[in-house]
Amino acid sequence: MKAKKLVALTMCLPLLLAGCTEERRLPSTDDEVTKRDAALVAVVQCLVDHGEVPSAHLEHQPWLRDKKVQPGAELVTWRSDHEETVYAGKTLQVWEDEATAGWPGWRCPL
Amino acid sequence: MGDFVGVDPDNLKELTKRLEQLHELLARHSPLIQQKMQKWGSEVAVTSLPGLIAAALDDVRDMDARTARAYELAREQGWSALSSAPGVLGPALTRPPGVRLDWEATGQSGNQGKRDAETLAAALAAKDPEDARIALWELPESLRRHLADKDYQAAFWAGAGPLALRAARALYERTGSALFSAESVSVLRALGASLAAASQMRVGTGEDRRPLLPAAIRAGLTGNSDPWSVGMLVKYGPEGRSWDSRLLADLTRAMLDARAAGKTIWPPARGKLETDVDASRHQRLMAEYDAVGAVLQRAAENGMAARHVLGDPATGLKYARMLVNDDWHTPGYDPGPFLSSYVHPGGALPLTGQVDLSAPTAAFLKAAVSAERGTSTDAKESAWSVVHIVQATAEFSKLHSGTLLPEKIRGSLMHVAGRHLPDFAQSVNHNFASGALQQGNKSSNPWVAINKVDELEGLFTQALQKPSEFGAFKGLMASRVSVAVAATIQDPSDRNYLREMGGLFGLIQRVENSHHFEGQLHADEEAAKNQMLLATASGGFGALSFSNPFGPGTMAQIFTALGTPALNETFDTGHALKALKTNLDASRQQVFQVEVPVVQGLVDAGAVHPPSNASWVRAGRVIPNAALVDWISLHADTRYAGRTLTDWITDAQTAMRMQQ
Repeated sequence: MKAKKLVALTMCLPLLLAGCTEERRLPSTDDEVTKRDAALVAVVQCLVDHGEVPSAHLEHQPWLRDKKVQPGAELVTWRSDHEETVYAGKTLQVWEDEATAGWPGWRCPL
Repeated sequence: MGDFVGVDPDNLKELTKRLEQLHELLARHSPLIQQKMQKWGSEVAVTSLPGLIAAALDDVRDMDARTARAYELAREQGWSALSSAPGVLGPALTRPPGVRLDWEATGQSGNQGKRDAETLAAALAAKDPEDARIALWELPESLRRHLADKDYQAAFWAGAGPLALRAARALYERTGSALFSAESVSVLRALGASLAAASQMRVGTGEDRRPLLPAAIRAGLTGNSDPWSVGMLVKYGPEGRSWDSRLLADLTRAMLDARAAGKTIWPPARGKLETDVDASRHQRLMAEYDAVGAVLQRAAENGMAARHVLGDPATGLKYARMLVNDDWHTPGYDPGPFLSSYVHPGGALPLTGQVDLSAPTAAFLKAAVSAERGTSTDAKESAWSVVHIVQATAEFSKLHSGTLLPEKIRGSLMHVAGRHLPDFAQSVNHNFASGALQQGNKSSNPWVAINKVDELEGLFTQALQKPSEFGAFKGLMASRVSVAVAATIQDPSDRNYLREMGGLFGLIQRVENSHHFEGQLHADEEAAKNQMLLATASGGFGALSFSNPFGPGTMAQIFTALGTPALNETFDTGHALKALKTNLDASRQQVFQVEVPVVQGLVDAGAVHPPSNASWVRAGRVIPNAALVDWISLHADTRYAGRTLTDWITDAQTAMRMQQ
């Protein structure tokens, strides 16, 4: 688990760098966050729908009701615990970043 | 009952006094007696001594109650201590006659409590502070003696009734500089101590278990009929931890509600305010006898009481809104009437003379978020308090754009942020909803506060104003880099603390950019950041194990780290990361800010094992010296916990936005 996590950490590094070296003055932070919120819900829904999230990761998770992802604080803290977890070949963080970048055109590729 | 005996009140009083002295002597020497007995190998059982001493105190109380009753009976028979004896000029002391009293019934301290309550009620009803003071001069001693006595406490507070809660209003001085005489303060202190002690007592067992304080008293405390008087009992009562946290929480809510409803929370005005000096003196009097502040202060000292109030998911936000505000001062006065008509022809002028009262509010806010982190109910309330304070601050920022909260309250907001960096860091990229929950929604994990990013932005917009404040906060974050590195390795989940901290750093930067600080101000910020890095006690530089904090060795280390011109060569020689930078000054800055904490984090996590003769680590703390720079240079490509040292450092720099 550790090794996997560290590999993932290294993998996301170039992406981090790209996002940070430019002195960002976002025209509207709200837009970015709104996109990111929507992207996260869609990504997790996509991974859950295709059985990519092991059931152990979903046990007693209040944000998943009737197999539907509910946005909320509960989803934020779960996301944090799994940001470097690899689902379907990519970390959740990378999934979220890619979907945010492609939003609103992003579609579940699975 | 019905066990009547004849007694001489004076003799009974003497007997009580001697019993009391005996008890005191025993209590004082009991540790020594036990010690000696054990030392001499005595077979006398001394373990029961504390119990016997406690029983002796009960006996003292019983005898005291009987003595008081005996004098009372004597007075009922027409005796007076000061009376004109035949043949003697003027008043003389006379002995009371013998009386018959019910030995068993009067020996219970409950009776004493009942009688003290009657004395108090009669004295307060007199409505003359002078009379009340004379009638009450023995009360403080009696209350103190019975602080831990349930029978007495129950009888006293049942008998005294809500009237006792208005003692301050009956006792305050109508003239003079002090609002209370020394005797009145003594009464208020004793009543406060008694109320605090009683608040922690429970009676009954099982389902019948309930507070000892009667419902009428509890209703009186929170019923707001005279919040100022209640506040004075709390002001003169004991430190916050001596009170029941629930009662203090109820009191706080009642006080804040009364204040919001515009009820009288200030000390009574005494006479007409004739001059500007009178008016400003009255403002200071209001500040000194500030009832709401007194209750907030005690609740803050108690800690849990503050968390009960702000940590309630249903009502916490309402009270957080009242606290996170810029109206924590005395009302002030209109100076118009004190000006000559020539200067001021009429009309209302802006109020003046306000005295700042934000200190207890700030202390309360800090206490509300300061429970030990974990899975306890207290930690849960603390996390909810964070959520509510952030929300209330964001609302204030929105409603009063451009208005600053008082300095002390802003200080508390920084305390909230500093204490909850990982909470805010995981919240920062989303805007779904806010709430307290257990990390990852697992019941074995600590409670955390999740806030919408909009609300966090509102918080930092208020909390951080000056460049030096931004600098200090960034320094605090940078000083946690080592912890973030260690936590990312050690946390069993797949969380990346370093990355999340980077997100939070971005938010701080956005808020700062909105201020458009100029060049010189940036220098202030840089200085504050470095100062904070050196001062922070957790992680990073603050944790350096300086053996003598202010000795010459300390300064040498700091100067080495800061890279003073004389030591430039030491820093630059063989520094592998130098190639990454074009600007040497920037390079030194980064050596100072990131590499040491990163190495510290790797050491903390057990990923780096320093050689035993390494001079750059002492007692587990990494020391920024030339040897460390050498070590870093030699190990730039060595892998630790799966990644090279350079990777770790670059990632930390990225997270902290330190590229120049």
